[in-house]
Amino acid sequence: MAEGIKDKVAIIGMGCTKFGERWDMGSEDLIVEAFKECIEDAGIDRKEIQAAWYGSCFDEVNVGKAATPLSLALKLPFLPVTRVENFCATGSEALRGAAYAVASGAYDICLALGCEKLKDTGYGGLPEMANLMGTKNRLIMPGMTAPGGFAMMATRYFAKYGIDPDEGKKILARVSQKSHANGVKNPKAHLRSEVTEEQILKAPMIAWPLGLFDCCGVSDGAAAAIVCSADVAKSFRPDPVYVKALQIAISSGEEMMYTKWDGTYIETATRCGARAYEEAGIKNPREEISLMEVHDCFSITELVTYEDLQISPRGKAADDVRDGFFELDGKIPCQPDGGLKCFGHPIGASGLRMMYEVYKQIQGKAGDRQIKDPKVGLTHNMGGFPAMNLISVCIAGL
Amino acid sequence: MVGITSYGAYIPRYRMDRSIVYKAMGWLNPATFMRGEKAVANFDEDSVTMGVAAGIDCLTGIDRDEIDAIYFATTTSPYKERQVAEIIATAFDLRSDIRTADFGASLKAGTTALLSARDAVKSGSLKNVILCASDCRVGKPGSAQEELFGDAAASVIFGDSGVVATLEDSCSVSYDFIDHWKGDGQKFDRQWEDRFIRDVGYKKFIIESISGVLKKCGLETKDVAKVAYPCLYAGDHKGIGRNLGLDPAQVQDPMIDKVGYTGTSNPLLLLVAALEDAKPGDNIIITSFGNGSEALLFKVTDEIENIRGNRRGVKKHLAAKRELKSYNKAVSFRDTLPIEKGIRGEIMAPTALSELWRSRKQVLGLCGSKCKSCGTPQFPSQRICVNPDCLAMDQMEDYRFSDKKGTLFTYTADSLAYSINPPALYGFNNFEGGGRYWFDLTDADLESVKVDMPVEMSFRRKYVDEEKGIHGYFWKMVPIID
Amino acid sequence: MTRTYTHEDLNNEVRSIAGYYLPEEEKTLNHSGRQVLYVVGRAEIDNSCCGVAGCRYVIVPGYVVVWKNGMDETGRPLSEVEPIVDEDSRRKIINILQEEETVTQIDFW
Repeated sequence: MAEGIKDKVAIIGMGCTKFGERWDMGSEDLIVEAFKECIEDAGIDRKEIQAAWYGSCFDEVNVGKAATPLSLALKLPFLPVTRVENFCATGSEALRGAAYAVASGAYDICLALGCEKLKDTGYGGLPEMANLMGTKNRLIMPGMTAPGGFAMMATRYFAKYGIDPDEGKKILARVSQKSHANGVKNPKAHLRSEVTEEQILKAPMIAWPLGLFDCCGVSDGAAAAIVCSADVAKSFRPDPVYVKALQIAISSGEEMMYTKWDGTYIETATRCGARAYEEAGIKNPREEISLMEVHDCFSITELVTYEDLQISPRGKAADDVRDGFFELDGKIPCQPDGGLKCFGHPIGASGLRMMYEVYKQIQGKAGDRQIKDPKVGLTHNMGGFPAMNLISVCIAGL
Repeated sequence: MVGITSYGAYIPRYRMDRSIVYKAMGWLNPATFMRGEKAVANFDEDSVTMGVAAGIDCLTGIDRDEIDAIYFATTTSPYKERQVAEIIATAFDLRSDIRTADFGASLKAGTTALLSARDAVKSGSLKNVILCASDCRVGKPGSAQEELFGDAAASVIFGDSGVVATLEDSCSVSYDFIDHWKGDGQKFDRQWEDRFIRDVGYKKFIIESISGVLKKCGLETKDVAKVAYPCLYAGDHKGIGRNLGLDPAQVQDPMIDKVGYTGTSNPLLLLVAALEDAKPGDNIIITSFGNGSEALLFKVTDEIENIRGNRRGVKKHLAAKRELKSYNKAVSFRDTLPIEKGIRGEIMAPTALSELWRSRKQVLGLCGSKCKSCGTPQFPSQRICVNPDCLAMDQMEDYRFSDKKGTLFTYTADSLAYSINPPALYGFNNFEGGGRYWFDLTDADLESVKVDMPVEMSFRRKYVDEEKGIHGYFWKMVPIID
Repeated sequence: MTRTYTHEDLNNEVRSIAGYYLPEEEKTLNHSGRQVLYVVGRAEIDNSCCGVAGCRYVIVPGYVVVWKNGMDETGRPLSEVEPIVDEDSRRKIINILQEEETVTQIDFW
C-alpha cells in the first residue's frame, strides 16, 4: 500500500535569483545565479549531484526545449536531466520529480531547478494562448487571456455570495495590499512598493472586475533546490526542511463541459489540497498550517484558494481577509515574500520560489519577514483557467 | 405549384447615422451627403456569417434534412476559391448528399440564384433549395458608395409544398453594362459616371424587366400590391415608379434610410419585407439591377399566415439596433484602415486544415455529442462521457448546439485579449437541455450584460489569417433580441 | 450614504507589477442639478502576465456633498461624496462623459 512522500525526502539547499526585468541576463545567467546560491547553501560538492530536473514552460521563446539548457549552463557531467513542463506548476513539478527520484532510492542527491526568461519576446505578457493550446482549441477557444478567465470566477463568486461588485473589489484590494506590504521587505522581489487600499481601488480595470493591482506580471527569474534522503539530511546541515506532501490535480473536463461546477471555486485545488493534507497527516489545516505561498496570479484566485484549501469556510474568505488573518502578523501569513504580485511570474521558477520562502521561514532565516515559530508551510500553484487547469500543492516543514 | 416556402433575413445590429460618415469624410467630396442610417456589419461579420444568420432565421421550424440544395449569392465572398455554400451548409448541419453552388460576380446574382432554384424544383431534380444572399460591400472612404452601401442578408427556401408565394414568372434582361466593376485583387469598386449609370442603365433596365414580367403574366401595374426595386438614386427611384404608373403606396420601401443598399441581397431582403405585410392573393414584384436586370413576380398564398410572425425577418432585425458612433471603428472593422495590432496581434498560428476537416461538424456546425448512456450533451464532441458518474466510452451520438438557447453562466470584459473592438467579451454558455462551453460574446456591451442572462449562438468570423488567406469561422454567444 | 473622498496627487504614477496608472485631472460636471466629481487618468498595462493594453479612464467617486472640508495625515484634501449607484444615472453620466472626455473606460465607485 502506497504511503506517500511524507518525511522521506529533505531539502538541504535552496537558491533564488532576484526576480525582475533582467534585460542583462539570459536563461544561462539566471540558472547559474540560482544554482550558485543553492549549492553554497547546501554546502555540498557539485559532484555529489546525481540527477537533475529542469522546469521551464515557455522556453520555446528563449533557449529552446529539452533539458540541454540546464545541463549546458551548469556543465553537468553527462547526468540524467529531465525537463518538465506543466504550466504554472512547472517549478513544483521539477521539485516533485527530484523528490520522487530520491524517495525511490534511485539516487541520493538530486537537483531541481526552474527558470523562465520572458522578456525576450518584444511584447509584455506571455505568448498568445491560442498558439499554445493545440490545433483544435485554436479553432474553438475564445480569444481569452488569463485575467479574463479569472475575472469570470470573480463575477460568479460575487453573484453567488451576493457580494456587491464594489464591495468585492474592496476585499480583493485588501488581498493585494497585504502582498505588496510584504514584498517591500524582500530584496529579491521584482516590485517593492507599498500601496494603499485607495490606490488599488482607484486603478482602472484590466478585465472587469479585476483591476490593475489584481493581476500579476511578467518577470525573469530562477530558483533551485537540492534534495536528499531524509535519513541522511542532518549529516549535511542541522536544519533541513522535510517534504510532507507533493500533490498535483488536473481538470477532467467536468468543470468546462458539465454543468455541475458552479464557478465559484477551483475543483482541482479542493481535491489537491485534501489529498496533500492526507499525505502530510494534517487534520485541521486552519490550525496546523503556519504559512502559505499561494498562486496569487489574480487576487480572486488567492481569495478562492483560501476556501479551496480549507483555511476559510466556503463564502467566508472575505471575513478572514477583513480580520487580517492572512497578513504577516496574522494567524496564517499568506504570501510572506510578496507573492506573484511582487515577484511576477517566471513560470518555470515560481513554484520553487515559493518553496524557497517556506524553506527560509522554517529555518528562521526570512529576515524582516520572519514569522514566529513556523512549523509547516504550504505552496500552491495553479496553471490554466478556473474551468480547465492544474494545481500543485506542496507541504514542507520540520 | 412551386415557390417560396419559407423566408428569413438578417440585418446587423450596428447602425450608423450617415451624418457620422459625412462629418468624417464629407470635406473631401461634399456632394456625397445622404440622410438616414445604414446597417454596418460588426468586426466579426461578413457576407458568410450574415448569410448563415439569415438562413437560420429562414430554417425556423423546418427539418434541415429536407433541404437538398444550398445556393449562396454574393459579390463579397471572402474566398476566390473555396465554395462558401459549403461552409454555410456545414454551419446549418445539412446532409452531405446535397447540391451546393455560389452565385456571384454581379449584383443580380441573388435573383439569378433564385431562378436557378425555381428551374431545379420545377424540373423535379430538387425538392427544397435554400438560398442565402448576402453582401458586405465596402465603399471607399469619402465616396458616395460609402454612404449608400449597407450590410444585410436574406434567405428563402424554394420548394413545391407549403408554398407561401408562388413564383408566377420572371423576366431577365442582360447587358454587358459596366456601371461599376472590381478587378482581380482590387478591394474597392470602381464606378463610371453617375449620369451614365442613371440614364443609360438604371432607369431603363429596371423598367424593361418589370414591364416584361407584367406582360408575361398578363397583368397591369394596378394588379400588383408591391413592386420592389433597388434604390441607387432617390430621385430616380421615385421616377421609375412614376414611369411605370405606380402609386407611391405600391412601391416597396427600399429601406435606404434604415439599412442602405445591400447589393446582392437587396431584392430578397425587400421580398421578405413585402411578405411580412402581404395578404393572400397579393402580387409582389422584386427586381435586381446589375449587368441588366431581373424581375420576378410572386403571388402570395393562404399559407403565408402559417409562418408570419414566426420569423425575425426584417421587422425584428430592424428594431434590434445599436448605434455605432465611431467612423474610425467602422473603417477598422472592414480593414480599410491599416491599424496597429501589436506584436501579439500579429502572431497567428497556422490553421491545420486536416484538423478543420476532422472537426468540421464541431467547428462550423457547433455539433457536439450526447451520451446515449446518461443523456448528457457535451461540446466539443467527446469519446468518453464527461459526466463523472457515467464515463461511458464510445456511447455518443451527434448533438447540435447551434439552435439551442442558453444562459450566460459567467462572463468578463477583457482589455488585454486582442480584439479589434475591445474590450473582448467572453464567458460560458449553459445550454438549455444540458452542456456547457466557453465562447466569445459579441453584439453586446458590458453595461447590458448580466450573469444568467439568456443568450443564443451566432456564426461569426473568428479570425483572418491575412498572410495565408484563411478566414476562420466559429460560433459566438449573442444576447437574444426578441 | 456618503463617504470620504481623498483628493489624489495628480500626475503621480502609481505602479503595480503589471503596469501603472496616472491620475491627470480632477473635474466636475452638473447632472440633474448636482455636481458629479470625476478623475481622468491614463494607464499602461505593459507587463501583465497576459497581454498588453492601456487606457484612458474616468473614475467617478460620486456626487459632491461637502467640498474639501478636511485634510488627511499627508495633507491631501478630503471631501464628502455620495456614490452613484442608480443604473439610470450611471448610464446618463457615462453618455455625457463619453462625449466630453476621450476615454475608453468609465468606472463608478
